[in-house]
Amino acid sequence: MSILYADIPGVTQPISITVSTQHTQSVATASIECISTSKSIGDEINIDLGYNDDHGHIFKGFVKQIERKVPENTRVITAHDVLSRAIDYFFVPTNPDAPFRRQNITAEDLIQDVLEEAGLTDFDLDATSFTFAVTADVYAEVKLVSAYDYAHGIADLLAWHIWADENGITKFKNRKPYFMATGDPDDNQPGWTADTAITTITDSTLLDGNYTEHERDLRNRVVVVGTPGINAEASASSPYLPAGYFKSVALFWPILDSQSIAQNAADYNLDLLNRLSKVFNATVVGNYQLIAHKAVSVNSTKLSLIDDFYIYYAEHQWSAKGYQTTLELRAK
Amino acid sequence: MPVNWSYGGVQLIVIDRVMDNDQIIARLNPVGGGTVLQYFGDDDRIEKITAYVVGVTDVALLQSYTTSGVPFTYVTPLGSSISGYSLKHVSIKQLNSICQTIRPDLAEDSPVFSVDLELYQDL
Repeated sequence: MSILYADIPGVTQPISITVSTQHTQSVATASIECISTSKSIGDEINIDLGYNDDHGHIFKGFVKQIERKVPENTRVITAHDVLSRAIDYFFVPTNPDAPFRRQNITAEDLIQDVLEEAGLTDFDLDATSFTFAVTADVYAEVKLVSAYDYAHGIADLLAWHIWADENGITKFKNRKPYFMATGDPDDNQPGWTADTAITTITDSTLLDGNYTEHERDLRNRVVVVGTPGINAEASASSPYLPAGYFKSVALFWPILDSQSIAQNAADYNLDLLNRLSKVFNATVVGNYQLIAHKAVSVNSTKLSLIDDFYIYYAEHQWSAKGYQTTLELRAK
Repeated sequence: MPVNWSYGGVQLIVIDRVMDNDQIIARLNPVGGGTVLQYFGDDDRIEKITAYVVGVTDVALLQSYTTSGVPFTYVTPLGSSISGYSLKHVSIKQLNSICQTIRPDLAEDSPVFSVDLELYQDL
């Protein structure tokens, strides 16, 4: 029999723990119900979860809310990961004519500069080969926007992704929302790295599951618009849509002043969006390693499903009802 | 001299005793078959006692123990005297009686009650 384990410094006698991570969610969140705590709003909080003989660090963030409940007389702590600092940091210059701004700067340096303004310090940023505001009178100005929204906008333009991992390190990488396998249309992009599954989910740990394919998020025409005169388009036919039919998406980025970079942005986003979504929703016996942004293999006889997947969403539920992990997985 | 049963200083003439100990174990059932057991913790002992209590004073004392939130000492003749038992529930039924000899230290016409106690160990 497995013995459930949880260690949260500053928290006494946890009753239930929920940790949620998601590709599209701006921050990972944690909710802890406990008998007592020495934590205060704003304190750093770390969660180590699993079993007595197999557990690991799953969350690092800051306490955002503490709720007292009666008649249970318990505390419910809500925490968000370190990127919440970037969400809450709003760029409002005292003088509107002198905002935070940069020129001739790479995407990764611009993101780091913006996030450092919000107090973030630990980064793992890959080189993008995208440079903004190259021409003399164009500036990357950041005002009346949150640090996260600005950085996230840059990531969307490049079809990259920004997130904070379980150790509080902010990552900016060519991370697609599906399993990245050699031979994909996008495998020649800068920063592209093939995924490696961290574990295999089999019927012996699978509690329930369903597999779905849909074209809801498919887009086969991308238009990118930058500074005046800079625009690019990429399109391709889709075997899942009528011939000559295009589902379009537009990206506007006023500091984009290079035609070749605009074209790259259009091409990268077409590779990202012109595909079916192959989704496997599952609940498995709790496994602390299963966190969004990682990859797993699935080998299920019951579902006749053998494939590699990206962890798009993972929620860990730890309580007297047991330790279970709810997953949304995306195949390539 | 034998030790009497008592709870919070109230003498009990015990006619039935049940002790419950529980582990908190979750049962998960993978689609591949079998069961995964996960140990979350354990429940401290719950004692359920049926006893006779003589006199309105002792009965009133037991009733007051359900309102204080304070644990009391539970004494058994089996060698245990443990402080830290909280009275979760008491059910009192007055019996038909004309003359009682259970408690010679009390008047013969003292009322006799049958009580069900549920005690939570709170160490």
